[in-house]
Amino acid sequence: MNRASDYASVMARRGEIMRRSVGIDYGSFSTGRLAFDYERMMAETGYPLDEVKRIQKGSNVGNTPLIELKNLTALVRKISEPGRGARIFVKDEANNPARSFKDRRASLSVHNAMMKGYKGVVAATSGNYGAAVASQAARENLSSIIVQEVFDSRGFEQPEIAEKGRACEAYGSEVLQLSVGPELFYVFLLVLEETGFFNASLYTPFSVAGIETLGTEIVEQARELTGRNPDAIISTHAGGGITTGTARGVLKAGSPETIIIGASVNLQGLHHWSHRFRLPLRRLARPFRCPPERGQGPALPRSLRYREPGFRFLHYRGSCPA
Amino acid sequence: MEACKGDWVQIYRVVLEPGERAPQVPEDTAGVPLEMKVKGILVEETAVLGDEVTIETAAGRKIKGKLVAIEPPYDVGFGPPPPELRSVGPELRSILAEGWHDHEQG
Repeated sequence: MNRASDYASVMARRGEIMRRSVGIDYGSFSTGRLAFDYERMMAETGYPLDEVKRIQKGSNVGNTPLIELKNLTALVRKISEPGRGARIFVKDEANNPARSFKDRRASLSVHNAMMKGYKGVVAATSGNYGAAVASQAARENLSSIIVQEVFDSRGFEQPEIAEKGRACEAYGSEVLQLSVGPELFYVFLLVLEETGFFNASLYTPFSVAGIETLGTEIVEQARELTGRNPDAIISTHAGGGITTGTARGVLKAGSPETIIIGASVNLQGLHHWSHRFRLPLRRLARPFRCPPERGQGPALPRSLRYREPGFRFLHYRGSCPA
Repeated sequence: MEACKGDWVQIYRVVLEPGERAPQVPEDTAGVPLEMKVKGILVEETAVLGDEVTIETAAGRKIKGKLVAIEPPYDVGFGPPPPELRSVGPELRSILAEGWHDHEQG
């Protein structure tokens, strides 16, 4: 089958490729011109929390330690006004098999791919998610292809991304290393179409459901260690996945009063699709318009979505090194 | 340098030429190609750097491109430790030991 492979033709087939590679018709959750029933999609196509826990336990994902940072708490109390300075804990997600929370997302996607009979998985990711998908795919003896945006037009490889590529290859993945550009997604679609593999995208309900255990574990561990629900949870917030999943899990654990704080780096001035890396940092994006459940940091729409009674979102606008 | 069939090699290819790129990229990016590198096992009997070759990837796909590296090393580095961070640990430890105000004055 030789189909047109130019950018516009492939993008026009996007809906068809996505339906075949995820098994979800996203269009069926749209109502009217603007509305998208996210909760119905999660309920019908995702996995219930108990099932997620069972799958993750079976793949050695999650149940990471919550560690009290006594020195940091003491330091904060030294420099704070009397009565201030909460007890600080860290959820040690590096204790997952591929060393990040992304294993939670990958475990569900790969499990779903295996159950549906796909021979392999594809993910377009330049970070920890690739290593997580590669690791989980290896566990299930599935093939994996990771599509990365690695180098700029001078051939400069962003070190953290190159390192993730090494990890993926070590787990047995085919790694497609691309230069910078939004056409990462175009290449991803072409690979899905050619291979018929499962689309282990970060944006599927499986992937989102996989993070919710992070929120429930934090609440349960806080109760065990301190006898109460956490007052606040701070998560790094780039794409917003960790914040979204944690917030959903915290709600499911019955702690709606917990404040969720997304901490983003201010990357004003960086163009999302510049052909050159401007900083020796992982190239992240400045805000752009997008549907509420996707985006690059600081992704305001997601914060707004969970800004319901009892919830509060703050964006820490740090600065990046000049 | 010559690569033999079965060697672990890296190939390079242009995926989209300038002018074929996504319409939403900024002008400077539109002027450069979208490039790709990928590693796998050399399919041809022998090849030298610069040859058009075929590889079989870890996922079992056959991909063609220009041979750019044979047994490519993982040699990306993270650079020297930032000097700003060298003083952070001792500073925080002294605050812990003495208290913030003692530290500021001392």
